[in-house]
Parts: sequence; C-alpha cells; structure tokens
Amino acid sequence: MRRRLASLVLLACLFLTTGCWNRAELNDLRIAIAGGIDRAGDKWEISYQTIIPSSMASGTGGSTGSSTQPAIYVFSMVSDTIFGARMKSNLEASRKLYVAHAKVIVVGREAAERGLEELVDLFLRNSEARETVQLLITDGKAKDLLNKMVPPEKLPGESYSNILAKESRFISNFPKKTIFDFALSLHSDSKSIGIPVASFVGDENTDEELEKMRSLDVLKDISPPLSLRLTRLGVFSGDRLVGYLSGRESMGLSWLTDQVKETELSFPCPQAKNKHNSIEITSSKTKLNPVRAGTHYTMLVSVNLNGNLMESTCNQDLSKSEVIHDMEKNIEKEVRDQIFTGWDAVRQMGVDVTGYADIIHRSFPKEWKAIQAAWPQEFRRMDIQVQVNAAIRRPGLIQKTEEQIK
Amino acid sequence: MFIRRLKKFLYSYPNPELEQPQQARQAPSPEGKPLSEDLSDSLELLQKSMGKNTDFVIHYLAFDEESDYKVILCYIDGLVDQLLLSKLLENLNRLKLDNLLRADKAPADWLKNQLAIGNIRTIYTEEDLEHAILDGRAVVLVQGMREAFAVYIAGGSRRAVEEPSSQTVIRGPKEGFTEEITVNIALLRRKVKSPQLTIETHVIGTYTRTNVSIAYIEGIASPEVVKEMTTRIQSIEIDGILESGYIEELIQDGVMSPFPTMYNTERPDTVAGGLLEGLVAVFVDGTPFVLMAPVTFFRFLTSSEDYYQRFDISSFLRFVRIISFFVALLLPSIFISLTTFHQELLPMPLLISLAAQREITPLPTLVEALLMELTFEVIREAGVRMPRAIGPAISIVGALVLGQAAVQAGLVSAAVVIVVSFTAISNFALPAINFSSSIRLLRFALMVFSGSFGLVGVLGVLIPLMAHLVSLESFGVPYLIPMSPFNKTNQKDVLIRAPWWKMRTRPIMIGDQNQMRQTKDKKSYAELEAGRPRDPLA
Repeated sequence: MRRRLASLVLLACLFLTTGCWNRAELNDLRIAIAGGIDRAGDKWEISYQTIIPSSMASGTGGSTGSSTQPAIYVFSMVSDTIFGARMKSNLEASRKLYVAHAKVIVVGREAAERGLEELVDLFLRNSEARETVQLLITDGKAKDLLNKMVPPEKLPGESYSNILAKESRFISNFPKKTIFDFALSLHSDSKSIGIPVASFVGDENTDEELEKMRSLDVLKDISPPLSLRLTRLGVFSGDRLVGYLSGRESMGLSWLTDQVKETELSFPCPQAKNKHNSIEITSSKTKLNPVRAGTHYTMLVSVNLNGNLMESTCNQDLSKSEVIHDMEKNIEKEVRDQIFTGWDAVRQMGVDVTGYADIIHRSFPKEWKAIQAAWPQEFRRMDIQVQVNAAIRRPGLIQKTEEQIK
Repeated sequence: MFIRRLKKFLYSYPNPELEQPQQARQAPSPEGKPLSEDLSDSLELLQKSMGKNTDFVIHYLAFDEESDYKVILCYIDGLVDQLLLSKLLENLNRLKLDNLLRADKAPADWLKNQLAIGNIRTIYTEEDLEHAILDGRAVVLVQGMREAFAVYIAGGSRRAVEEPSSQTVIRGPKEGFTEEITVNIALLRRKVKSPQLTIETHVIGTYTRTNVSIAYIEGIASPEVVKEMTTRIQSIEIDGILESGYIEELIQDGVMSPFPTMYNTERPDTVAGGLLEGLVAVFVDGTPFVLMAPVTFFRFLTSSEDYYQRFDISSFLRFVRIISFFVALLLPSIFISLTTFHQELLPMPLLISLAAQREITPLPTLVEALLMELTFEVIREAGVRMPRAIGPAISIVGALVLGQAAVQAGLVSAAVVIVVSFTAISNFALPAINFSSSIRLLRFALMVFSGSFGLVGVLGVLIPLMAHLVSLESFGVPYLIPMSPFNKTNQKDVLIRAPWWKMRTRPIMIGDQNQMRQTKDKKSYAELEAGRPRDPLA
C-alpha cells in the first residue's frame, strides 16, 4: 500500500516536471504572418511582420485603444544564417517568435538574385515552418514591403496571400507558388520557376508617399497614394532570379503551362477593330504534346477553353451562330497572340520556365540523356505549334447589344 | 508492467464463487424455532423482542368467554392499511369458536379461509413471526394452534406513480417507478403480460431485510446471465440495502472502472424494452431506480424515446448524442492542447481571436479551464442539493456573476467560458446520468494530461482508456459489443436506429436463443409498402 501510494505521488510529480516541454501560452507567442528575406552584405537580413492580437480583435474586456495601435509590428535581424537571424529576434523581442502561421515569404531582389538555396533547406528541414508558404518577390528590399500598410486591410501579411490566392483563382496571370513548388523546381529538369513580383505602385510613387504607407494614418486615407500590386513575374533559373516577364508575357506562360483556371480576355469585334468584347473564361485546359522532328523538338500546345460573354459592344446579332463563331475565332487569335508573346520572351531569356524539359524527359526518356547537358541551347531551338479551341458557352442574358435595342 | 498491474487492480472485483454458498438463508427456514402451542409463550416472545416499540400493537380477542381459545392480532402501526385492518378485525370478531372446533378439516385451513382477506401466509417459526410483523403484515395467533397467520394488509402512506424526474421524454409513457417494489413490479407486469416474465425475490440486508427481485423473461434472457445474477446477489452480505446503488456496486463487473456496467432507470418502459432484449432487471424495495444488466457502452447513448420516434429522427439524435459524448469528454482537453501546444492547428483568424483574449488573462489556460470546470461542478452540485426555493438564485450567480463578470473583469477568457459551457451542455445531452458522471471524471484527467503533454497526453489517456473499454465486460458480455467484437446484424440499433420493420432480430449478446423479434418470413405492411413500385396512374 505504501509502495503504491509512493508510486502515485511520484507519478503525480511527473506532471510538474514536464518542464513545460514545448508548451507556450498564446500570449507568449509573437505570431508572424509574413516573413521577409534580404541580403545585408554577406549576411542574411530577416524581417518578420507579426501580429499584435489585442489591437486586432474587438476588445474582450480590458483591451483598449484598438484603433490607435497598428495591428502589426515589424522587426528585422541580421545574421550569417536565416535561422540564426530568426533566433536573434530573442535578443529584442518580448515573446517567442512563432512562424508556423506565416503564409507568405517576401524575398528581396538582391537576395533572390543571389540564390535561395538556404531558404529551401531551412523550410524543408524545419518542422515548424510550412512548405505551403507562398513566395513573393519584391523589387526593392523585402523589409520595405513588410513595414508598409496595405489599405484597407489591417493585416498586410494577410493581404499578400489573399492577393496571390485571388489572382491565381480569377485571373491566372501570375500563378502563386509555394516554397514546396520552388523546391520541386530545383530538382526538376527545367530547374526554373516563375514567382510573382509585387511592389507598391501609384501615380507618382515618391519617397514621401512610400514613407506615408508606413504609418497607420494611411488607413484613414480614402484613396491611398500607393497600392500593392502584382506587377510581373520573376523568373528563376535554379535558385537565382535571372529575369522578368511582363504581365502579358506571364499570361502567355500561364496558357503554355496549363495554369489558367479562370481569367478574363478582351478581344476586338470581328468587324470593328476599335470595339472590344470581354469574355470570362470559366475553364481552360492546355494539352502539351512534344514531337521530335529530326534533332529538334516541337511542342504541340492545344488549348481548350470555355467562357461566358460578359460584355459586348459589337453591333451584331448574337443569336446567330456565325456571329458567335466569328467571336470564338477572335478569342482564339487573342489567346494565340498571348501565347506567342510569352513564348518569345521565355525563349529569348533562354530559361525553361515552362517546364518543358520534364515533359520531354517523360516522353522521350532515351533521347533525353543526349540532350540533357545541352538543354538550354536545345530549348532555344524549340518550336511550338499552338491550337486554340474557344467556345462561348453563354452569350449572356440579352441577345442584342444596347445599340441594336435603341 | 505498470499497465498489467493497473489492469489487475481495475479488474479485482470480489469473486462470488469464493463466498460461502448462502442457500440456507434463501429457503423458508424450516429449521427455525417452532412456535409454541401456548399463546402466552408467543406473547411473551413478542413482548420481549418488540414490546419496547410504541408502534407495535397487540389486539386481544376471544371467540367467547368460556373458550380456552384466545386470539391475538399484532401488527406495526403505520405499516398496515387501516381500512383493511378494521375489516380483518371485523372478520375475526365474527368467527365462532364452535365452528373452529367442529370443523372437519384442519383448523388452520378453516381459519385461513374465514379471514378472507389479502394474501395470507402460514407461519411456523418464531423468526418468521417477527419478520412477518416487520414486513407490514398483521399476524393472527390462536391459542392452541402451532401455526400463526400473517395477513398481508400492508399500507400506510406511499408516493403515487409519478412522471420520472431523472429521465424525461417528450413522447412515451409518463409513468415512473415508485419506492414500493410491489407497485414497481406491477407496473412492469402491466407492460409484459406474459407468464414467461419471471420474478425471483431475495431478502438482503441483515437489518433492513430489503426485498430484491430479479426480473427476466424466460426464453429470452440467457440462463447463464440469470444464474450469474442470482449468484452475485445471493453472495451479498451486508447490514442494509437502502438503494439499488448498493446492489450495483456490490455485484457489478470492473469495480474500479470509471464506466458503469449496470444500467439504472426509473422508467418501466425502458425496463420492459431491456427485458425484451434479454437483459435481467433487479428491483430493489425502497427505490424507484431499477438496475439492468448486462449492459453495453452504446446502451448508455440510447434513450427509450428512440424507439417511439420516427427512425430517421432517432438516428439523427443518436448521432447528436455521440457527438456530445466526444465533446463532453474531449473538448476542454483539445482546446488546452491546441492553444498551448499546437497553435499551428488553429486557423489564423481563430488564433488571432484567441490570442487577443489571452492578452489580459492572468492564469495559464490549463488552470483557467480547470478552475472554470470546477466552478461549474460546484454550481451544478449546489443546484442539485439546494432547497428548490432558492433555485433561481443559483442560475443568476452562476451565469452572470461567474460567467459574464469573470470575462469582463479579464480573469477568464471568453473562449474558455464558451468551451466549459458547451462541454457542460453536451454532458447533459447524454441520457444516462451515471454514464455522463464518469465522463466528467475522465474529462479532468484528460485536461491535466493535455495541459502537460498536449495532444500526446490526450492520446496517452485515450489509448489505455480504449484498451480498458475493449476488455471490460458486463455479466460476461463485452462492453463494446457490437463494435468490438464486431457484429453486423446488431449494427441496426447502435449508431443508427433502423426502422422497426427492419429490426427482426434481437441484439445478440450471449447465446442465441429466441432471436426473432418478428416472424421470419412474413413481411410487415411497412416493408411491403417500401418495396412496392410506384404506380403513377394509381
């Protein structure tokens, strides 16, 4: 009986000696919603945008002054390694940095140009950080993006990922890419990936305006001078940023790589070239089929897309199938045009951001060995043949244009 | 090693076979001291044993002046019905001594017939004489006769049959058991009018001499279970049985298990339903709670109303109860582990909202939750024990002062209050009180483990708990049947309640006698209707 009692007491003591293990109360955590990576000389400069919860939620009891305090707090550390910099935050932060909820990593231009291998290693090795974190490139320093508000949202970090998600879903112009996608590209045959680039754009874009975005006061501005926007696509070769694609070129790339989910497409009227129609593309499928012609390869790109007509100013009777047919032809022409714009830019850059190397490897596994070493040159010599099949599924609720009704 | 010892510890219930066989006490004690022919001897005996009691009454009667025969009638005031007593006295006074003397038959039989009231038992021994009086019988003793006659005219005030307070239903019979065992058995007999409904009565308790009746339907209940039940009940040796809880604790399996292995109910229809599924019921005099065994885990998530409502609604309610079982058991511990160990599992907006609440609360989440749970238990206990008149006060104090004020003062976060309240409500959604009480206890253990080890700790409790449940038995029936061991046909009445026309067989527990509930081949109207193709022209 005494032994049993003693063992029970000892067992009870175990609960007290767990040393809290990895226990952390929520108010001991500094929750990061976005991270930033820059280079400071040979060292890494890591910035984190963290949440101040009390100014976020509408107060429960004692919390006051929720409108006067910004909901985020940004700080930066410099160290030899990324993780080292993160741990250095303990020198100045009152709470433990908690990065599992960070959704976006912003990479500064210099850091991107000098390579992100260490970042991938950190994310794959570390259990706290998630590989599903999205990547975003910025023209200047990541730190300067993170320390600015994105009106009207209270949490800029949240809006980065929301912008990326919505854009990939509805426009498909700059498809979002995660750290995991980036790591996959490093191990693919093409060794290339396109990452969206975001920056603050405005009419004048002065330093004063940029400075203004750092303050909470900008939320009071009805029309802020600057807004965060996805501007272009950063093209990586290996882990280094080597070039950019413009919006239209990037759209072509999206068609070429079957990354279009939904998008909008404007195309001219069959008769009047200065008048435009707009179609909402609701589904699209790109089939890629490589063929070998002699020593060269040609990619047969076949795009099938469906859409609903959303806006039409052509003076035509849409109830006639020929008219619809003509419109579909114009859509196909426009898509083909976009595709070639993208393809020319990619081929000129000489970086296989289309990932065609992997398709050719899979289709011609034997021949691949021969061209593997000289793939960049081979890629430049590659051709595409594009076939687009567009279908307008619904011309809309009205058959005629406004002009005809009058 | 530790687990094995723990298991051994948990399963060590008293082995009935080691107890002395108690057959002697059960039989109508023929070897007791016989009654004396001389009335004065018996009178002396009664005066000696019970004369001190003011509620013990002796009536001296005589057939006539000259006769040697004297008659006494004794009883305990308050235990007998006054109306029947006066009828009995009237009958006794009408008796003629001559008839008794001249009767051709045995005088005992003649007298028994002449009394012509109630259930009359002939008594031969002194012990029986005392017990009969204490049982609420009026005993007639006649000078010169070796027998005494115990007339059952028990009465006095007793509670009427009322709606059961612990298990209410919307649809279904509203009558509940009372404290009177005879009334309770009669309530059951009114539902099961079959001679196969067998009632075996035992008297337990050296001082209380409580009637304990085992009820089962012969041909449905497994004979092994009935035998086991009888053996276990006979093995009880205690000074008194005041409630069926005594019996339950003395005979149940897995005495150290937090889970009950006997079902208790106040509802005659629940007992009748149980008996039809092969259960054995134990009625105890003096309590409206009737025990049933063998019982499985899933019976505790069942209400008798399930069988009275439409099957689709009943199945949905079963689902709701299963959810509330898990909520009642796990919600606080999962909340604690998520907020203190696994914040990455929380969605971002929820995390921010919870973190904002945490900013101002002074105590760790575990302590906060434990305190709130304890507070709730105190309120609940106070609500049960408190005089009914101050009932509303407790809800004001509980809800406003402790809930709202604590949150507003920043002592407790609103999330913890919500978690604790929802847990409590879920606990009340479970139909069996003894089952939900055991969950309450386990919840505290889970909370402590989750506060120390996170989800690992929660699993560290749940896995041994599952092992324990799987190995637990109730009167030889596995506790988790029909899930483990799995039985396909029994699934009709576990997580869902199949329509009655699909439930043709009884749930299989032990043995497989008399499985059919409905005729095997004959299709019911409902089934014919369900299978009939729709005729659009009809």
